[in-house]
Amino acid sequence: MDDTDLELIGRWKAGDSRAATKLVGRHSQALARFCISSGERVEVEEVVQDTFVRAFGAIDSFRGESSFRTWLFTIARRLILDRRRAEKRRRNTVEVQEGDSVSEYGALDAIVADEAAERVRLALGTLTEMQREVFTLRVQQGMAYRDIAAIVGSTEGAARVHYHNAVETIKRQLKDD
Amino acid sequence: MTHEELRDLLPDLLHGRLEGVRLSVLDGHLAECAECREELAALELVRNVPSFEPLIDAARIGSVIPPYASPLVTRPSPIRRPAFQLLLVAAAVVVVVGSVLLNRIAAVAPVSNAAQRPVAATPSQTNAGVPTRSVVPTRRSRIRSATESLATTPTVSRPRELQVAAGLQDLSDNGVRQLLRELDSFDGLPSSEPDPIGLSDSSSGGAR
Repeated sequence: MDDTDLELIGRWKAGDSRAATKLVGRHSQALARFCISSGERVEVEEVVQDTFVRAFGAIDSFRGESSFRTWLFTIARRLILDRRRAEKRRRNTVEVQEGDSVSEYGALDAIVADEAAERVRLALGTLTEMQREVFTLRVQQGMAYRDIAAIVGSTEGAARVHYHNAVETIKRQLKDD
Repeated sequence: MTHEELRDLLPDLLHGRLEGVRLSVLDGHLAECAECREELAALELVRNVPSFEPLIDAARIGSVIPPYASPLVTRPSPIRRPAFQLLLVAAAVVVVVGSVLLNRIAAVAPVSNAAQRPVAATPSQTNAGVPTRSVVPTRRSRIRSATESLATTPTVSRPRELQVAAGLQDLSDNGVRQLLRELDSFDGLPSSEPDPIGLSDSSSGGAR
């Protein structure tokens, strides 16, 4: 039976470095998907690494009120926002402005062979940044609204509204295609 | 459960998080609700789209994570005095140094100069109940007594209460506390006549 995240954290604190590697392996791909869905395209692995280094450096502030993965996503989101602010004039990251998303978010469409996937990407590109974050966390990561709210800095109720608005937009976009 | 509540459970169904009563109720609802079936299909399509995230090298990232540093073994942070207290101490040092210089100048100058200089009145000489700006009995009396003692003694000695260590960093905690007590004992009023000593402008930047 796999150790829980808290048990692995305890083992790492006791000096077992493999426990940290195990935690990284458990959450890194989900973190990478989250980074992609948040618009970070170029330096995903760097953001993932920075997230883990920060998380382990501040492990004593993790109180276990949310899941470890939720806490990691919160750190990653802040990192991505900081990077955006710092690199505002560099257009390597894909920033989706409300109402002006298709041309930027669909930048990778050229390499997408599957037509359905392309339709989904275009549909996701029409969402606002908050809607896309909430929607992808709910659908792709399967997170509960409480955790989503903690990650995006909102409330459960607002997260629920963003999600349903996103669903309506996605359904409409997929139907129109 | 309402239609909206069941709709809210669709992502949980996608991720296999439903069981028991909720699962059977939702299954029953999907059998009858075309709208929810359509929504579930859209969600499945979105979920199955590859996001092309890079394969993360977990072992490499794990190797760069520094070992855990327990708060108990970290070096204790240096005692941080509030900024105001530091300014107070700095002001006390400046006042003390200035007083020392005053004493030395007074020691060098003729005694008659000290007698001719308007001296702040002592409490016994002032009109009772009429405070004047020039009344600085405590500090003046100390300086005067020090000056008078210098007139009679061949060597200049610093009044005991004005002695100060070579530098602020050399002061012990007790030394700092004593300085602060002395500063508290000063009434803070300037002398009636500023003494012509070459203090730098920083002497006026004392604590407020």
